[in-house]
Amino acid sequence: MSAVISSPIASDAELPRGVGLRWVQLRAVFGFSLRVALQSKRLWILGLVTFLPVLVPLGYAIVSIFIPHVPPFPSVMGVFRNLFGLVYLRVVLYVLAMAYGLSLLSDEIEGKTLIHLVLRPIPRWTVVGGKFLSSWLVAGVLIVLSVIVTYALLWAIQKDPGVRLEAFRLENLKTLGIDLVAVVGALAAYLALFSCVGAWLPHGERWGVVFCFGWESLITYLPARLKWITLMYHVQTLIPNNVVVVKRFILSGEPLPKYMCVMILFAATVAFLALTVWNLKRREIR
Amino acid sequence: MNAPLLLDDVSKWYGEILGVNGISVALGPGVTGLLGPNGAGKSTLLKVSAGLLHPSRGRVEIFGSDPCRDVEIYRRVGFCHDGDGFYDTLTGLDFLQSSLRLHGFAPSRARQMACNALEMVGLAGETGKRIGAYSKGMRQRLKLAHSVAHDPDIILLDEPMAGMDPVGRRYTLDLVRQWGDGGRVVIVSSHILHEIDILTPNIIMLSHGRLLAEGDIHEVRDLLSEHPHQVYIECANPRALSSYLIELEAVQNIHFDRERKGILLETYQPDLLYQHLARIIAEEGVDIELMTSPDDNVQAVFDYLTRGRTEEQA
Repeated sequence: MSAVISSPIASDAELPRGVGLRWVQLRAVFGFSLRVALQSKRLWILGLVTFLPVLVPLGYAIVSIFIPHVPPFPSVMGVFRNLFGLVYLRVVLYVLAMAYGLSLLSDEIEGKTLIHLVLRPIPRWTVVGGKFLSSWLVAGVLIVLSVIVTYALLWAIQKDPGVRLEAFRLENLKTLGIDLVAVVGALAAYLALFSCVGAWLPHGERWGVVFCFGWESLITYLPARLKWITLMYHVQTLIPNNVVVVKRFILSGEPLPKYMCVMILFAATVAFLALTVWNLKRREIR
Repeated sequence: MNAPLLLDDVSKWYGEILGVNGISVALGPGVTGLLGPNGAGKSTLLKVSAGLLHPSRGRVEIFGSDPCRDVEIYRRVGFCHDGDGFYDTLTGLDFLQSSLRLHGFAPSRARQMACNALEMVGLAGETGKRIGAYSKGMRQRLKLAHSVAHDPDIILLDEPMAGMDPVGRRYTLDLVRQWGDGGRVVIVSSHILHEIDILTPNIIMLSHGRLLAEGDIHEVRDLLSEHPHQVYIECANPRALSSYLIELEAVQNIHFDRERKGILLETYQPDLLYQHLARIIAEEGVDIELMTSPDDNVQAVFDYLTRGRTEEQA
């Protein structure tokens, strides 16, 4: 066997220029990262975790089959709001954001695959941006689907057809819509935060757990304005709150306007991503 | 200097540990071998050259640009690194195509280029196979394909034959030689002198992060003339053979290895010694079982050179 060169001969003339080139490159990193994410085992594991709340209506339906006189939910929307506020926002969101955010760069670093990306003629912000967008999409689709399925099942298992139809009441659908937008927005902020943590700190998962279940969960219950420097306070401000504990403690006092909370979440997302890009720019690949 | 790849007084420390120190070289088209034992600083030098590590001192220029600052330079640079990290769930073709998309190439163009690169390294039949199922040698070839798929002008290869079988090594050596002959700047690191010997006479020798020698390999070998060459022979009757050899002027010393029935000769005139040996074998009917040159390897060369340097410093 002897080698023969059939050179690919790449011509730069055919390439887009300027902003067009960067857009193409960002999309390329996004597509590449999305493909890797969709083929990973992590997707299956997190898919299972994300869909755990669905067991609540399913469990209720199964129990109803065996025990005929199980009392109905006092308020279907109330159960949904509690599930959303206490399980999706306080557990599923954190787990997804930590899993995808912390691994955004650290997976590439530990797997020694980052070198394949940084040896290409792409600015490093496109690496972070493309990977962030793909993670956001995958995690966002998971949580949105899970919330919708839970909402649908909670109504579907009601015995009274009249009650079931309330699933389509405009007011309830509007609440669901706001919840979904808020949780996807919150996911962006937390993903950016944890990508930054994963890039800068070793053992990012420990910091993540301390942050989510320590700082974010405890500080928000303090009466002082200290809670303004948590992300969860701003997320809770955006959604319609039916959970008593949230109303009484987290949102007590003078609330920030909603537009301010949106801006703060957006600014936090951009700032954390910028810090991640900065880390990648100064990082040496050994 | 207008060399495509220029390193000017480049040093790199990892905290207290020295990676490379005060390296200045200017490299032009053709193949250059980067030689040194493990830990000599070969990978560090290549990574500094590729802009993956920032030099602690000095400067690196690729076509006049600093690779740490100008990412566009990667259109003209390909680097086959020493790591083994891959996206194992992707196929070889997907991986290369995605990498080429990062350059901005359209999907169809990137696919065509990826196929060409895979064919070039002999992986055309494995395009649909997941990288996770590739053998070590195939992964090495894929890295090669990844480093040249965009047709770079400068190709940096860090131990590119590691893990390859003899056929793969031969094939890769042919490829590298052709890249060099085609006018590309190719730097190949290896700790196996003989591989570089086949490829190119141009070498850079490193030891403990320092530039030990640079230039034509034959000139470097000439440095060895200060030290006697060693020839080890095993035969049925080493005493009889040594009685013939001891009379030769070409033989400096003879040491016996009683356990293995061998003799170790030292000579400053290896060519003359081999001529005499051929004559003795033919005329006296000596049955030689084994003949090797224990100091004909890169480690021995380095030992001589580093010993010389130490003595100079003393």
